Amino acid sequence: MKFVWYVGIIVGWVVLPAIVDAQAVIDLQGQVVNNNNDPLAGAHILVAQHNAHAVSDDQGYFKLNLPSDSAIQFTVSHIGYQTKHETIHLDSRNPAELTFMLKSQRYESPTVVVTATRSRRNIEDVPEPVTVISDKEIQTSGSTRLSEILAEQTGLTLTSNHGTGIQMQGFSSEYTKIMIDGQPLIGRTAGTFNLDRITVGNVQQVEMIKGPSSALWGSDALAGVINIITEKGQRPFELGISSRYGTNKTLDTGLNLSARTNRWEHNLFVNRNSSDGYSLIPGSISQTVPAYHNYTASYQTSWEASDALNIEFRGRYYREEQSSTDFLGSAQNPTLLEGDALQEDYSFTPTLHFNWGKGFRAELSNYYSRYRTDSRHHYEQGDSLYEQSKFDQLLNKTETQLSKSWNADHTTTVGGGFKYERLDAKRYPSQPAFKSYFGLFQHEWMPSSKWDIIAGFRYDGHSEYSTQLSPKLSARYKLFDWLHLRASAGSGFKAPDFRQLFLDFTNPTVGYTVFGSSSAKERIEELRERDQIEQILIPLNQLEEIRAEQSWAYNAGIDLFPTDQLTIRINGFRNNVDDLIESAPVATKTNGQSIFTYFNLDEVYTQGIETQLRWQPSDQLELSAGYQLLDARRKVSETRDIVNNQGEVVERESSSYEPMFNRSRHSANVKLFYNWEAPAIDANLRGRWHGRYGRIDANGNGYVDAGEYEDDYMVWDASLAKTFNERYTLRLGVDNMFDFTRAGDLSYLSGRIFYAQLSLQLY
Amino acid sequence: MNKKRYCPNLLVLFSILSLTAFLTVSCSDSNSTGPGPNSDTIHTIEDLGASTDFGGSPGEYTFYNLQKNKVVADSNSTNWDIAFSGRVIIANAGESGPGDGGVMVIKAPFNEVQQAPVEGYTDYLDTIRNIENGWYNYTANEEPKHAIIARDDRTVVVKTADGDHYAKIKIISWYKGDPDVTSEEFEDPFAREAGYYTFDYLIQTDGSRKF
Repeated sequence: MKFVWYVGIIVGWVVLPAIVDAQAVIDLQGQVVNNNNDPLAGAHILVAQHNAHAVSDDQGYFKLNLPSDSAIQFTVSHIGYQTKHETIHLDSRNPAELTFMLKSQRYESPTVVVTATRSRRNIEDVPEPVTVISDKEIQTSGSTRLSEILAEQTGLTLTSNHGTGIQMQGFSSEYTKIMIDGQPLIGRTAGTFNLDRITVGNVQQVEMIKGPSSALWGSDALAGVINIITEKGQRPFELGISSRYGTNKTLDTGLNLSARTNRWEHNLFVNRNSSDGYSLIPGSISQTVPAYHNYTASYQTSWEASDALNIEFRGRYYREEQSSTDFLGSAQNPTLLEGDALQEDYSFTPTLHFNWGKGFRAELSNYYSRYRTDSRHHYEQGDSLYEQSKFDQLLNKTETQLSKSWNADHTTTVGGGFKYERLDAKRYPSQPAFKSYFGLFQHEWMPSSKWDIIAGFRYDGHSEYSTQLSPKLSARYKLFDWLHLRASAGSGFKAPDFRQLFLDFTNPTVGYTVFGSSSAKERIEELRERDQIEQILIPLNQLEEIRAEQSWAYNAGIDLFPTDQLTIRINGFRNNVDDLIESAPVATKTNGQSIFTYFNLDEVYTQGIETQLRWQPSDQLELSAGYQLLDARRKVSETRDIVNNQGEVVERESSSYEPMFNRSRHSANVKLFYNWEAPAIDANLRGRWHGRYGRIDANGNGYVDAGEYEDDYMVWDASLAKTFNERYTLRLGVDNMFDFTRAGDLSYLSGRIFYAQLSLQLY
Repeated sequence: MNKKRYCPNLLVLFSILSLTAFLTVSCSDSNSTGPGPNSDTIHTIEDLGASTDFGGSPGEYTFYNLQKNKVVADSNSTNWDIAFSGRVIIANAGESGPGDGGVMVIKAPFNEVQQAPVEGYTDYLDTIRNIENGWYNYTANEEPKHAIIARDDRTVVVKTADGDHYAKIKIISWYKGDPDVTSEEFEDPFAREAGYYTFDYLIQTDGSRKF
């Protein structure tokens, strides 16, 4: 029935004929120039509402015939320049001579964000602390994968655990939601979403919100959200190729192709990335990172079916093959294994965007995504199969969102959706599937030009664990032009993952067993009937339904703009979580080993201050610096025995909050960008520093003691580029200049990398 | 750019190591001044080989006499006080031996254990099923992966086989050469030689429970 309803809406709006008034027509003349007032030939001038299009001549001049009395929206674009959108009111009796000045793309800084409110908003207005990484920054940094550019951001730390993950506000990788164009990416291993899977060759900007955003984005947005906004062509036809080659035979090649008419646009991106891998431990049989190659293809198209309806489709495909050498036995006398690992993910998203005017908008989308892996190990001699493991995850999400701007002060957004997830893997013999649904509400109120207040909540219902309500309240106050205040309070959550709900795993060598919380009770009963249980430690009827991990968080910040050239942002945060999911023994088996299941046990808090400074003393020079103070602690309960004079053992319980491992208390970065305009050369130097951090629990007490800190480290990157004709850029760079490596926890750092990158904007 | 890595098979790890580990013992008595032990002396035993078997379960035992401070072979006697096999420690009592001894873990650092308890002793320290109250921490997937790390807030207290004396033990390491567990070399599970106890102990010879 729902379907019929949707179709009805679509058809209704498509067939409604546009009513066009007969209007006076004027001849319009204008010129397009650059910021030195030099004419720009070949610029495209587009008026979508009247299907009009012109191209500027050698002197930058253009002509258009347009109806006179309306406000006309111009889109002016040129290769190598920022596209300009401008609305102009024309007077038929006295047509003005128009001049459009385009700024070179080098000065671009992003101004519009969507992640904070689920709608396009000016970054200076939203109450959330949003960080934006521009495509310009990605390009000048020579980054090809998402991990590389995130590593340079204030308050973020990369981690190596079954892939390169991100640590945000002290939370490990599984607590940050990663999205492309607002749709969540699936396929995590041990909680880590491997950021190396994501190419940044077609990124317009990366938006980040630190602090919980579950009120808008649901599960996993407990530490924050990273939303990758893909690039869309601005000119009628664009073609760009970029290729980077560097140390370890790492090659990354991408092609961007886009075409658009007034009503129809296409954006295609293809990327190939490969490397021979590297080894951080000399003489070891297995490489630290084995050789791999991968492909990404993505396509986006949208069609303006009518003034009220836009139909959009997005598709993405990713495939990686990795080959490694592993071994059994000792390194001195190894039995060699050849490993082949395949990873594949793809997604399709058809979306309908409605715009009924008067501030009333709606969106209806279906997101289908699948992630699968297949890894095999063969004996090198004889080629027989040693082990194979497969993993197959599916997510389908249907959602709708409506927003209404009642007037300039009030905007309401409501939405809802339905999710289906399924998993197929050896460790999950039951092929678990679960269903969830959600509804969200958000109201934004701007009582004056100084205030912006947003209140909202999201309700998530689920078939396998307790429902979740995530509220959030945030406000921004522009005390002066140069001083803005921000504050927010809200809740974030992370749903129990498949492992915590459905795992059914017995270690084949040691013999312990882990059951997910959904099946623990029944599976232990089964084992008891087969006389495999020795002792039950927690009565089965006392096993509670597992809950999502929920945080409460408070953020407060100041944005300072003392001069036009200087921006300082300071943000303080505090996150409290008291129900982190941990495994604990629930029974013992007759083979002497334990059965584990998952409980809401651990309590942690993280707090800190993040500051970001950006200073642009001239058009040539930009300096930015960031610092984060982080205090992340976990509650540790200890029992201490005291033997009294009677020889009795007396237990004394105590608990305290102790520092967590792998978290630097201090971290900082500094970046220097220089741009010589006349020779079109740019250069940059970027450094990031991580203070000492607890790494290894040498005395086994579960928290960081004085002797367990690993030294601080710093990584420096630099690059130099020359641009020809505003179109072709050759970049030479070196990452990790001083060749710092630390095997184990920093295995993503490969040592010094030299590279050359050529970007050609052919059209 | 870290990729998913193949995790080694623990069975193979343990079975290989058990071959090399078994009965290669070296002892040193760092502070001993006279022929007989006394309560002021802390003895340091280095790399006492204890067979590592399937998952660290009891296999071959290495028997130790704390009063004489040496390895003994005669297991069916009261000539030994404790014995080691993999992660398991037994005392000469009950099902483990003919003596009147015992062993237990006290949740306190070595220096803070001033007295031996009167009761609570067992003949078999089940640290595999009862990790929480054991003398070590198993790192599982934390760095360094799959390691047994001795806890410095645990003390093993032993009643000797004759039932008359008490000793307290601080286990320092379970790996050959007491390696620095924070070092890069220790990160590779294959590079570790498991099942070698390094420990300090102090034995009270005056018959009291005081240390």
